[in-house]
Amino acid sequence: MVEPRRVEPFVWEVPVGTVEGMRVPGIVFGSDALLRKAVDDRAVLQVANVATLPGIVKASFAMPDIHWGYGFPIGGVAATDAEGDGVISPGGVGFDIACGVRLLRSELEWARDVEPVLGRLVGTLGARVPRGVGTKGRMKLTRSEVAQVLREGVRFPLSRGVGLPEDEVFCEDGGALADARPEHVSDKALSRGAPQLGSLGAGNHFLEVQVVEEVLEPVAANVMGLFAGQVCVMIHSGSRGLGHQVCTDHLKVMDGLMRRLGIEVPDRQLACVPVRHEAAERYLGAMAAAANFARANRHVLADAVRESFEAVFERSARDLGLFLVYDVAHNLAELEEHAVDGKRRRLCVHRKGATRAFGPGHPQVPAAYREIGQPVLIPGSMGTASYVLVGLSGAEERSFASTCHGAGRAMSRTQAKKQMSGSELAHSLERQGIELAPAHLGLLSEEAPYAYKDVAEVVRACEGAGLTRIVARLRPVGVVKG
Amino acid sequence: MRASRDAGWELLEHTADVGIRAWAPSMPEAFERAGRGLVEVMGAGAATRSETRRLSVHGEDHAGLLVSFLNDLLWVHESTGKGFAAVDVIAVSENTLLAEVELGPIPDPPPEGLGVKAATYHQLYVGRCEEGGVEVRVFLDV
Repeated sequence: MVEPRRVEPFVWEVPVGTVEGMRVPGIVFGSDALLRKAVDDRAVLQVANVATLPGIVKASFAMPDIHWGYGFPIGGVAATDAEGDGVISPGGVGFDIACGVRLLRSELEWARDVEPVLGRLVGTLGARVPRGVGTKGRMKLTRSEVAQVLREGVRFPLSRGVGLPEDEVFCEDGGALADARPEHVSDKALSRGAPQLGSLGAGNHFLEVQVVEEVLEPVAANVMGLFAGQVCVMIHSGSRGLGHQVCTDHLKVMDGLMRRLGIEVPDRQLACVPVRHEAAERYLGAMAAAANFARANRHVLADAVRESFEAVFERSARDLGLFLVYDVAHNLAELEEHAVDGKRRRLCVHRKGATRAFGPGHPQVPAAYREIGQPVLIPGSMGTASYVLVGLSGAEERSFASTCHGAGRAMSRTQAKKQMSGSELAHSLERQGIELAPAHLGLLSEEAPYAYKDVAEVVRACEGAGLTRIVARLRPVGVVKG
Repeated sequence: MRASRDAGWELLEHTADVGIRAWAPSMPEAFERAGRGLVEVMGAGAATRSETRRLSVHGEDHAGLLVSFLNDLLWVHESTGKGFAAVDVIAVSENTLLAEVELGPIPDPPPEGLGVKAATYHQLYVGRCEEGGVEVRVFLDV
């Protein structure tokens, strides 16, 4: 059993030598209770395994929502030297490339405007948002249009009149990664995922109608247009089958290539090649293309939200104030510059179940938010609160400007289903006043709130560790599940 | 779980995801059981057959072949929108696997199933059972 030692109130170290071949220590952020869970489910061992990757810089980091993943822990952050011997590992991004969260705000108030029509609103959203396993999406594309989505991200649907022009400003990377290379996305990936643009998917993906329950940082909340009692909509989805297949394809290539390059890793899912190898360039290009697909996917889903609100309230989305607060990814690798030992270095930063969180003044934060720092969106588990956070400048030094991505699972699917049936959970949510539009009641309890850690403790630990500050807490009133 | 003493499959626990352990007297049969396990996990069974497809999969070794085979089943399912009435692994060599699948329409309403993203290399195992025969273990990202 790995036993990290505390180095600060919310910072724990996994020393070099815990696993053979560690090049740097592991650093886990979290409270005592969260750390205990990470040790018990063997996720801390995975932090140590990641520390063996060639060219890893400073430490193998884990956020407070860390849990057992496959290869990388979920909640893991690893930066490698992109100009030296650093590697890229598709497992450090995961299969759902650029899975992430988007938050829309509105001018609507819960008690006055939405509570009286909640049932109709959730029913309309449930009917207009394609969801579930393998579902076809809202936007039908020709082959050449798919390539455009992969290159242009949210700018493609915008060019077809889907969404509001200002949406792209409030997406990470302006809604599209510039170095996307659709030619490295296979025919298999295209045939599997291209029909799914504008679909929610299944599993832990969801769309929620939420109410801002409490504002904890009034200045930042005001800049983001958030106020207590306001109705918002949160969307959690990713790159669908297209992104899954991109990871599968390139992981297979690297699994074979790694052996020929003489790279050894403690878990085969950590397969990797040097960032400067042409196989890495191909993966990065395909990954960026899949990330653009993910952002376009959430953008098209947001269009379904606006359309549903327009149908129920008989006012335009603009009139309802349904504007984008922000859109973030929490499964991605990006080439970024960070200060390491006082020097600026170009690093390949893997975030697997972790969110980038730039502090105030960072040039990649949209001008409207630059004074307060980058908004970070943390979805709760079904029926529990979600949070809006904001990046802190100190996180650059502490975690390569990274923070948590959600509550983090604490219980397996089988255990979760044993505790309560799907219909019992649905009744329990209804008793809490939460309107539900599920796809499959039988699978609902796999995503029950008790299967996850306490999201409030996770975001408090991020604040305690100096990674992010809590701006607002939102509670769900309507849930549309994949 | 679909199992007898000689051949079958069962689910393995994982905090976020799900694993499959399959066993059978021979490697093709063990791979086939793992494939049937995946189909059931996805809720991708079909009652009638409308199309037969041959799959030819290449890999670095037996374990890599298992991952690629399961990922090809996933790709066929998502790209065609069809379910599996039968999964037969015909042959497994060191670097190649040949399989035949019978596809058909998925019942309406579809059976409950998990959205599987991929078969992973995490804690992947292909080897001998204690009782003889072949055992495989693979984790799925769901």
